[in-house]
Amino acid sequence: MKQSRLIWLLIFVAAGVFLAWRVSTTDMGRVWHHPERQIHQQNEDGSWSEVELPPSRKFDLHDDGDLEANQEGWNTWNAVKNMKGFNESFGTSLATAGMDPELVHDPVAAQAAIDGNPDMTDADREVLQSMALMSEDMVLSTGRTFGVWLSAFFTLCIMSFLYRDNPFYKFAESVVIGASAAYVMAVGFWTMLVKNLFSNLAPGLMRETFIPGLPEEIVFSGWYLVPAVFTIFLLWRLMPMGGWISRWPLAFFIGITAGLRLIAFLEADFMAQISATMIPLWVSVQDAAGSMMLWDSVWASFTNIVIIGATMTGLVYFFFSVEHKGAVGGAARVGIWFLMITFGASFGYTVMGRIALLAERLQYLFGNWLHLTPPT
Amino acid sequence: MYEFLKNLDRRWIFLLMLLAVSFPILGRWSFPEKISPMTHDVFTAIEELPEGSKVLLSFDYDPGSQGELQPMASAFTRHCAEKKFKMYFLCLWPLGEPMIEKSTNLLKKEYPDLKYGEDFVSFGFKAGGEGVIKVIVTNIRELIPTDQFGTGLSRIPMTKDIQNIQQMDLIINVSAGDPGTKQWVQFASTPYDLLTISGCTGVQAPLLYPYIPNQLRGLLGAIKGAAEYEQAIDERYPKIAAMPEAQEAKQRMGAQLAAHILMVILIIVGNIVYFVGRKRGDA
Repeated sequence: MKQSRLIWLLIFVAAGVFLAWRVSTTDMGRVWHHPERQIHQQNEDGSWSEVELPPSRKFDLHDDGDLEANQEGWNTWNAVKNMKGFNESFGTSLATAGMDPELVHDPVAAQAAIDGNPDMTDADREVLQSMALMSEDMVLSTGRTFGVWLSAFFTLCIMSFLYRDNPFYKFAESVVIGASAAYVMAVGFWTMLVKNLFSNLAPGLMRETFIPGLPEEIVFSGWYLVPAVFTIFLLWRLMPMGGWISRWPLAFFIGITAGLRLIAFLEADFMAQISATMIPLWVSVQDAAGSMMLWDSVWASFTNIVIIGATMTGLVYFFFSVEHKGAVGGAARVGIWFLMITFGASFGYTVMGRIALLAERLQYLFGNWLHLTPPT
Repeated sequence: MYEFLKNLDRRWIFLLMLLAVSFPILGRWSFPEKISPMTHDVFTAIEELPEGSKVLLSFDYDPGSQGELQPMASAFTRHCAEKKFKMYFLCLWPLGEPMIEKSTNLLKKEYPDLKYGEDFVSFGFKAGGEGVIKVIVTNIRELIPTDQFGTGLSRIPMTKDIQNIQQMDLIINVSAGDPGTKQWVQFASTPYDLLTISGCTGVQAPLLYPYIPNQLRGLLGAIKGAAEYEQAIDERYPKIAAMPEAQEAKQRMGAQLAAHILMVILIIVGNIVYFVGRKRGDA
């Protein structure tokens, strides 16, 4: 066995042993959740508003028997990504209020102690009561726990490509592509076809089916038949005959896009950038008393000279109608230096971006999965 | 030594990088940030607006870029909430809706007094890229008849009087590419002179600097810009400074420092190996 392969094997074995040890001795990878009761009440005008509940009713499982007339209720489940961290925070709060931090393990006794403590403000009591009630109804969230493990697994699968191409990486890559494509298609259907096209062609039907909140002022608009026909034309390329018909809407889109972008470019990039480069070579910076600040003036002027110089020499570098010799050649050489500095800055920024992505993934693995740091 | 370095397997470098990024995260290293003029411009653009101003937050990124952009999106949201702005969330990327949900969940958790429909609203995702901006800058209801959840804009208190995004006092764009800040500058900020600020990925930042200051008031470049912005918010709002979850970007700068030191060392070592090899006639 090659030495490098042996070292990598040892690393993987050590990681496996560490993982097994963490799973067996800690709360690692488990997500807990507690219910929060939501009650809404229908107003006289037909709208709904949320009913404010005290902690004693808010963090308790919803029961239909508690509802009054014209009320609807349900539970939402709030996740606690690190139970140990939650208990530590609860224990610290109890200790600060002069109570035994060990009460975190007995939420009912904690509630009694909080209710019977006369030395607390109402606001502090409410916070501690909420925490005790959350703790009492806290249960393991199977779905969220599975999600954390799945997320960690796929992260490691993708990272495994750094070692070499392998079936785990291929599997994760395929899942990402498939899930993203399906998600984009579903979102596109509901946000564009349903909300923008169908709601203008059949507003009544949409109001009765998918979008009850569709404003009444939206009525049938014949103009939307044009994009509807274009959509059908685009999909026509899937038919065995007449696939050429999809070129018509494509030609329309290309023409529209080119026109829009050309005008936007001319206004925002061409004209505005020329205007932004027309700046004075000497800038006089003055203080509040009106006297010139020499160093600031020199620095501001130098900045303007660099901007103008870099723009001009960069343009000369891309001007190929004259041979790059003599003064033109010199200017072009300066221009290429400015370009190289720009590329260097871009590369530096790119590196920073990639490191940030790695740091975020490691924060997730260390925090949400391994519980070595606070969860993100 | 020369032979070892010359034939070094690239996977050792990956392992070194993994360790360099891991240790600062495990040790939770973070360093104080010095606020650059660019970040200061972004901060003051928000800070100078009066309470109740209307702000459009367009989150044009997806989970692939959230390592860089989520900290600044969260910081923008907190800053707007502290200023009691009316927040209108939108995204032009299909996978951007979960990114908006992160911010609305943040508002529900950290600012429970703010109410959906009165203080913040989400338009969700709109397909069409720059076409969306081109339309909503003159008529928002043409493309966005309802909010993300299907409620008509005329039935939501904070949108019933909104006709177009020219009524916004500020546009905040968090951008990972196309459509993103460039399109907001081209189709909204420049032609309609709308006050716009941006936070973007490192790859985009050098391409967007020319728009400053006339077309773009300020720009947060990558995680460094986000960390400086967090610092500016911390100095102004001590309540946020005490929240560990509001220091995401600053915590990632520790990993950046270690990784960059490693990269500088590797570049120097690589050049030494190259020049030694050339001297020996290997190159």
